Amino acid sequence: MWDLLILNPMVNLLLLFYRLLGHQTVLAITALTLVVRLVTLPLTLKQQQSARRMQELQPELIKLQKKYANDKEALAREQMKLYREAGINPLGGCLPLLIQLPLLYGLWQTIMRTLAASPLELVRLSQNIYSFIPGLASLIPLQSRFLWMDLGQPDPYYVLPILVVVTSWLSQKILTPPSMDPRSAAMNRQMLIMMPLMFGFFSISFASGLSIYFIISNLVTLLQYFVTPKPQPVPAGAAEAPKEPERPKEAERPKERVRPPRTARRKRGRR
Amino acid sequence: MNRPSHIYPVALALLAVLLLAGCSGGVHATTWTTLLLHDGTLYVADLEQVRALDAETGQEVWAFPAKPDLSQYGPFYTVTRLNDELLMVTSYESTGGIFSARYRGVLRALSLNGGQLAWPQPFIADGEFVAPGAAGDGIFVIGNSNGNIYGLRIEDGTLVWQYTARSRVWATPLILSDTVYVASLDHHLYALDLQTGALRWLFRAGGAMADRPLFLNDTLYIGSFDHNLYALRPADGTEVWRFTGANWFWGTPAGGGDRLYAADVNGNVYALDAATGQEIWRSRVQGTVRLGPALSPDGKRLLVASENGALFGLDTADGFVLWQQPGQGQLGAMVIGGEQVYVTRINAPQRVQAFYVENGRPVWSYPPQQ
Repeated sequence: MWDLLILNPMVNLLLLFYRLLGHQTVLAITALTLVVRLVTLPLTLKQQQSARRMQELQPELIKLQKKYANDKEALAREQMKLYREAGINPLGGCLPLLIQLPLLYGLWQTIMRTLAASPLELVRLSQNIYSFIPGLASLIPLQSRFLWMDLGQPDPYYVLPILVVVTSWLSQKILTPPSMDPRSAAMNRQMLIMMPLMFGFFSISFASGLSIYFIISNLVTLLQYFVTPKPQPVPAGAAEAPKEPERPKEAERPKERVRPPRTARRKRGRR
Repeated sequence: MNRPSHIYPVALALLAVLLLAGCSGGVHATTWTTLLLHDGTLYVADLEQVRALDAETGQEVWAFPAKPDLSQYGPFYTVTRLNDELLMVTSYESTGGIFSARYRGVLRALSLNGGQLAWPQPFIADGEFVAPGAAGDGIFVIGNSNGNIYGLRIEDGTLVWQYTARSRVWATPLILSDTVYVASLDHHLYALDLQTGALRWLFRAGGAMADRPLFLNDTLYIGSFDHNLYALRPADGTEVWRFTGANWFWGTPAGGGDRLYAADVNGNVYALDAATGQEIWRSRVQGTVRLGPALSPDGKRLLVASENGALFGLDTADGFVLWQQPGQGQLGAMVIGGEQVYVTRINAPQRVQAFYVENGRPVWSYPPQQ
């Protein structure tokens, strides 16, 4: 079922991109990564917005934690009330991520399988290619030479792993807003170090083609962050908060006091 | 009190690294293991060790190294008989630490009698040696994953010539007289001069070719990933005929008399007229079939192995599946000797097994089943 719904379509799409883009494996991986990111864009945007709104509630949450330090039930109740009033679901950030995970894992598996650095991987690939699309089987194996690398092998000079670590750190950094809760802040710091290192380790251990995917994916995340509009902050209790008082009309406004010019002030001072 | 929760992401990250890096212990095989039968002894490249087993009983005669030592040797994948005294074994060894990711193919010559190292130095090259080599006229020829084809002097392992294909070479070469034929994943079958490595001709198929051609009735037969099985003239690589199957042809066809037998990766088994490529019968076995079929010496049984570990015995008269023997792990190689067929397996507790060709009954397993 996994192969039928996820892996096979992705493998064949990658092969089609490979054929359309002049047998350039890096371009094909880039195109497939972009397509998958495009498909999951609504989910990632929702996830980012949810994370941002959760972050904006941090001061209120800390206040509640202090207020109900000795009453966990009341704390949970008040927290839920706060979330409800702010119109956010505390699990709203997780659900889009969970939906995306199979696609991202499928993308990872697709790249590893189509690069097929080992015979055992290649023989599995034979069952993923659509026979009704003529000529796809003839594309195997994909052109694996790129610059100094064999895309089916790890980069021997560690250039790609370093790029993976740097771009992972940057994307992780911008997606993790500063937290006022010391516990969350400590966890964020740990993640900011561990996640890029983990991806760097994968990059050292697995095919370079996978590193290309990591880098493109991180760059897309960065781009997405900078080009998408930031949501307006939703104040806590916005649902019940009274409307802001209307700005008084021009005629009703008190006239602004006009500051006298400097020379006049000096003269007044002398007197 | 809150501090321990900080370690969760770290622990999760480390767990993910370990799982995805496959650090779960044991040998993580990247390709299949092979064996050969010579003079009543089976020589098996069995990942941690190269083993000589008595073909009748499965008893171990010798092993190299005496105790498995993956930090120094192996994993071993292929064996080739060089002559009556020497055996060539290939392994894929790390030359650095955990972060080096620098693996190299290593060739070692061992004595057939006792498994002692025969060359002063191993031959080391970038890229994995996936398939066994071939030996003839004092030269040992082998291809590797970097697309290089090496011609080495058998007596001391010195490099005589090197030819570079455009992609990986995962096929065992075929030596006929003074020519060596090597298939590559770059869609070409190369005919090279055995002594110099000079190109004589090349044949381009529509897809990759991953195994050795069969020489039968003065014709070369080879399958390709373009779903075609080709018949070629050995002298100049001219195409005689082609037969189109349902999916990739990976393994070397088997042949006897005027018949040719081949299997595609979908498990379709074909019997063809060797002279014309006309289909005589078609049968089907369960699972992905990568390994070429093996024909019994009397020509009555055709054995087909699938990647899910099952072995099938077909009647060559009509392709009827007479018996099937399920098994664990992928089948690496299959050799018929007399009334028995010997197979290697990876990812299975029993690495080498012997079955009767006639009915598929097991004879012995190595290591012996408890």
